[in-house]
Amino acid sequence: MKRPLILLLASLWAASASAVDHPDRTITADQARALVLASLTPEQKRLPSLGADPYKDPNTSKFLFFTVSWAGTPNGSVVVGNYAVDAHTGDVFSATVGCEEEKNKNLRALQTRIRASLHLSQAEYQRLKTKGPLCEE
Amino acid sequence: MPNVNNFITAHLGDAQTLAGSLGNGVTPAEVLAVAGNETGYGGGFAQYGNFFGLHGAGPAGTYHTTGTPSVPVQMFPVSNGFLLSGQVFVNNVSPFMTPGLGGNPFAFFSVLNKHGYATGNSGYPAYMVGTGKNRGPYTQVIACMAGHT
Repeated sequence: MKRPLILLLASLWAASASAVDHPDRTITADQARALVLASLTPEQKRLPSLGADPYKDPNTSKFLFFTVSWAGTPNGSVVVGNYAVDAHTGDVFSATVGCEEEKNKNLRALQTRIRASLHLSQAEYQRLKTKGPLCEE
Repeated sequence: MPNVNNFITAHLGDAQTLAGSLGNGVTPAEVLAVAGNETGYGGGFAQYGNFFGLHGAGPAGTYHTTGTPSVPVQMFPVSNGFLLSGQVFVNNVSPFMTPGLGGNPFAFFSVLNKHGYATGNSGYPAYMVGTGKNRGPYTQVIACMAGHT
């Protein structure tokens, strides 16, 4: 009777250890959306009907993509910009310009909180960090 | 830049048609750069056939954004959305084209900026033609098109 119990405990321990070593380390769609909205300038944040709609890029699953839109002008565009959020680090990049990473104080604070919730150490962050989906450096 | 290459491969022919409709020296690269910036090179509202950020009701329906209140975005048949939404774009901006405008991309994007594109962001023309590390959509399209000739 002892052997099945020992096997059960061993498997539970293995599953627990695995969860600690390899937790789910990607951000949620809601977190990504919040990061994109935090990356906007104060002027952009004041635009009426501001929203961030997700879309998929078949070329990569590493990033979560969003189109930020607003009410627009009668014959103009509703698009404020397109953004890519690194699912592993929470870094926010332009989805249309080379190596442009979005940075500001509010965004940094939110990124710090989200990385903490992912249990992402600074060393791990540096290892995972990229220059964005369009950067060729 | 696989998605930029794919985007150009898919839409270069239609961009040539639209550039011809705009006249005034407007180039396919300028048209592709506008659409690339509006959609992240074929993502964004291009999934609804709308490559130029057009709002209102479209021939294939209306997509409502997640904004509050939501914004109606035109939907077009996805199979030829670039050309169809591009024709609406051409109709909207044609009145503002002037002879030779397309020969100066910065000036072309400045005119769009004054008439509904990236409204309130005066950095749009420089952003579009940016070079170096942060090269803009027009510069990226030109670089990729070199591989299409």
